[in-house]
Amino acid sequence: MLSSLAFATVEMQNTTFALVYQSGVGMLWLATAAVAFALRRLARNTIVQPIFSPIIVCIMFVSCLQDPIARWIGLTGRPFEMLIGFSLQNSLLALAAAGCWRSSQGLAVSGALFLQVFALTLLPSSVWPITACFVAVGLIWIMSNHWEQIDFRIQNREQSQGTSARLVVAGLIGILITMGSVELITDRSIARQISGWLPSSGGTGEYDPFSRDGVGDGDALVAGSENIQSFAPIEEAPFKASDEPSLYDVYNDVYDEPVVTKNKNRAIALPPQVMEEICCRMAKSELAGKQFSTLRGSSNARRSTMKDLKSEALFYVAGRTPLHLRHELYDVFDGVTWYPVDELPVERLSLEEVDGRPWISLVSSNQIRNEDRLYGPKETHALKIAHLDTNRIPTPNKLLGIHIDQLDDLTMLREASSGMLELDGERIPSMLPIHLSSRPIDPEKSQQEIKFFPSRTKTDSLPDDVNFHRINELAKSWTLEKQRGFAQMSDVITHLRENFRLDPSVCCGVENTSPLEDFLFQSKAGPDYQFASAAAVLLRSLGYRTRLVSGYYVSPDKFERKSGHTPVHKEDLHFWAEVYIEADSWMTIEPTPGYEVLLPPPTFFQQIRELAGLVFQWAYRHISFLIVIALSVTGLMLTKAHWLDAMRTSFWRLWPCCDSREKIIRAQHILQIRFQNHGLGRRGHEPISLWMKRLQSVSNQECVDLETFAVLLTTLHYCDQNSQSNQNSDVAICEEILRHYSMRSIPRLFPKSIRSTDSSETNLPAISRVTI
Amino acid sequence: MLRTIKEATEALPHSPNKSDHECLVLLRSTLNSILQGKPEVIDLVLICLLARGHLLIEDKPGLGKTTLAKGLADALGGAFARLQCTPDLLPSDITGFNLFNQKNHEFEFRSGPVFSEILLADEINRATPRTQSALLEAMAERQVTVDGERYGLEEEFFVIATQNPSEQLGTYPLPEAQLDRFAMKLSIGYPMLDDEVRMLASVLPANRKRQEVSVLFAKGQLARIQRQVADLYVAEKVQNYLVQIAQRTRQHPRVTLGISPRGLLIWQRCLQARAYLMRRDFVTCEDAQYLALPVLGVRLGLDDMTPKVLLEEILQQVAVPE
Repeated sequence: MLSSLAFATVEMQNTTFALVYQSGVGMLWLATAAVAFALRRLARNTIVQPIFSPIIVCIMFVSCLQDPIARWIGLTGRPFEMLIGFSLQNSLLALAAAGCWRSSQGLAVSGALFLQVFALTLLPSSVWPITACFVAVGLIWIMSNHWEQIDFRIQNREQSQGTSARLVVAGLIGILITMGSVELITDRSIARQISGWLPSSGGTGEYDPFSRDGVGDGDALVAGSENIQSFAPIEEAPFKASDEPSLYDVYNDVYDEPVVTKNKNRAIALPPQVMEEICCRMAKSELAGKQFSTLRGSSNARRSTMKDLKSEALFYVAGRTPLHLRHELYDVFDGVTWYPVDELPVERLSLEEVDGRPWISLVSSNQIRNEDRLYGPKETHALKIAHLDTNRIPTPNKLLGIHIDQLDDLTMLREASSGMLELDGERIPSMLPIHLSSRPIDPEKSQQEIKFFPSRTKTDSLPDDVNFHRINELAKSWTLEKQRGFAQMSDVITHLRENFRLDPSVCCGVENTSPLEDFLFQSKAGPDYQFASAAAVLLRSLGYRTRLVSGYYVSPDKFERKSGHTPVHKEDLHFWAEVYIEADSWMTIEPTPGYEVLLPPPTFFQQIRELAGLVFQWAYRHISFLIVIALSVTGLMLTKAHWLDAMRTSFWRLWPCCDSREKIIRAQHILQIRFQNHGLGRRGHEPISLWMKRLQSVSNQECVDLETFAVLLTTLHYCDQNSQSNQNSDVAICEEILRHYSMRSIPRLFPKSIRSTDSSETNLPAISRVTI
Repeated sequence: MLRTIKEATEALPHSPNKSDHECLVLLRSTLNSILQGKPEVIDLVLICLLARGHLLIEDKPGLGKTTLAKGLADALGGAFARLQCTPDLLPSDITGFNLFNQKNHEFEFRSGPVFSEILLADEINRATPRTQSALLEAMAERQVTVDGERYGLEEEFFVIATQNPSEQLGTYPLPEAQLDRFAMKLSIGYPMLDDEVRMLASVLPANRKRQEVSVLFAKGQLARIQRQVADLYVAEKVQNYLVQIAQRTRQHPRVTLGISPRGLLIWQRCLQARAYLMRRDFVTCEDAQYLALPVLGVRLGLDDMTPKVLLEEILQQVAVPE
């Protein structure tokens, strides 16, 4: 029965996994059945169970190896999670084949149930009833197996001693489970840290041609071209005519004039096939309208319920965070106001093709690309524009290139000031994905080597009406006569971050002539632009060339685990500063406390350390909760024997089992487990009568009832069942025995001192002592 | 305290209507008073008797083998014969022979010692193999054939054979096939100190009592009890238990000859006998453990290992199905 159950699961798995394996299922079935039959015959002749675990492990490994080989040869491939499922399925088959031995049965059924639950997430709904039936049968089997398992355990295992180490482990496990299930997953910072760690074929950012799903991760993602109901910011989304402004347009003069949109932008012409395809399909559906079927699906109803998913976000960012996206640069400061300087564009754009897609790169990017001294590894981010009411594309510092689907016309993009790009038109159309590639400066790497160039131009000098001397003195007092360089600069930033308070509500009045000095010397608190402004001015006073930057701060705290994106809202508008270093480069500095600069991706060990730190912080925050959990789990473990016994006994009392014979035998099991918990359990080779005698020998009082019980049980076990009549009085005896020899009373009735002197002679079977 | 024969017999006066169990209790106490301080041996002898098996006692001379056999024969009310085995003993000395009667010119059969209820074969290993096999065949078949004519033995025919382990010179050890015909092998052993002192005192004139055993069983009663024993219920799980143990003896690396199916049959019969003796109408695994050594010990071929060690090892491995 067990084998067939496991087979059923596996069969179910196979039909749902992939059609390719359908043919193999029958073969596997037959092979397993044959092996099971052979093993059953073998089991009849041998008593000792062979060791299976190495074989099972081997089967798992070989199953896993099969896929890389198949990929290498070029046959086919499977997604990672399916591979794991496949290898699990094979080992379950092996276990099912060995089902004639008891120890493999439970594992096979439990594993099969697990696979079943896994399959439920993939199954079409029509197969659900069969699956549900299997799960129900499996659960009933496991439950009914419980009593036999107890019997099996009693006969095969000696009393295991509960050690304190085991309790500690139990407590820790309780904490871990709680952390994992209750809150850890919902904690954003930790969720971000562990995202992409769990093995799966999708959503990891790696390209896998065999993955099941995941945005941009495989060939499985195909844009719908029929019955289009939604439009989302993905490149593969189909074109759909609407009156919303779009970057794309299809010139269409077959029918009427195209819909005139209110805000007409410059658009990219799509190949006419795209439109043709859509039109053809529509024409077909019109022809079909000559007939009228009364049989209608619910598709219309479904369509009518479709709703737009509105978002408050300006745009979404996929990629590593925190990220500073620049929007405007300010160079000139008059003491109160910062002004941008419209520099002439210094960079020129060029078009190149990467992986068959057009990338528009900046000319300086070649230089950045080859320079390893200052920069960290290449970063890519994708912006998915929702409601950005500007034509300026938010870009990170040190931009290498930009990619917009189908955009291969350089005139569509315009360079505003150094490194800033604008789209030709009034605003960036919504639902547009923009890919950005950049190489941020690695502060760790460049700490020693950065050369700071002094201020050269008039535009970034200090304004006249700022008390230069006072600010310079302040800056010098913060840096403690340090040499000009990275250390001096970071001292200023650190001082600002540590000793000033971010408070957006603090706002100097209109009458205040010098808000900067007020911030630095009086309030020591203010919004983020004051921090940025102060940092820029302080560094200028020390002779650095700086500028103020406004833009968007992509906060890691906003990371949405479900979509894998970080939304950017209006309130994420942020100010920071940049300092000029060599080679026409500006370095982002972040003086505002609570905001971070994007660092190069951490190594594996750094990630581990970071995660451990986060987990520790979380644990520290919930220390009382965790202590309660640990204590209660430890307490449960300590009293495990007691509450399990209580459950067993009440189950025994309440179980509507009409057969008194069954009931008496269960009472015997309960009693055996009770004595086993106190080190007086019946050994496997020990007949009940001898066990009872042994108990009596260590008891401190007469146990007549035990003797009666032994006689009752022996009769029950060996007497001819046809002639035997079980009466309720026997069950009453059991009740009395269970009440008398409870978990509490056993230590009192059978003192420890006697138990410890339990001689080894009683361990021997009841062989007649007549000498030969 | 053990009672004397007189007291034992007087306490329950003999009557043919006495129930079978009462008779057995009486027999047991009688034998206990004859062979003092060995209740376990007496029990095993009775089990062997009830199981219709034959008994092999391996012991030194002078420990009460003959006394026991004689007392048993007296109590059962049957004929007792004793056979002193020597190398020159011939099969016809056991079975009997045809003698030519000069008067009526006919052969007439002179029955041998096997035509008795209790036969004590002393030092059986000193007889030649030919003689041994004649006796053992008589034990197995319960009949003898002399000059082509068959003679049936008594229904209660019970052999107590003895072996002397100390004298090895000029002996013919019983082969394993022959040993398998015995139900049990046991040894009486020296009595305990107190029992020995009491024994010495009991032969002095002051304490001497009439060593007279009255017949406890009616004619055919023992045979009826033996049939009842054979009909006793044995649960299937006990049979499984016996077979598991037998299989383990066959698979054990240090065992040259495991338990035969015939051995299993005898073992089961002995379990039934023990259950009957203990007034139970079913057999337990404890019976099996109790009788493992006396019953299986006689029929195991072992490599430098005592049967006790082996059986303890095997019995600890097999779980009791309770």
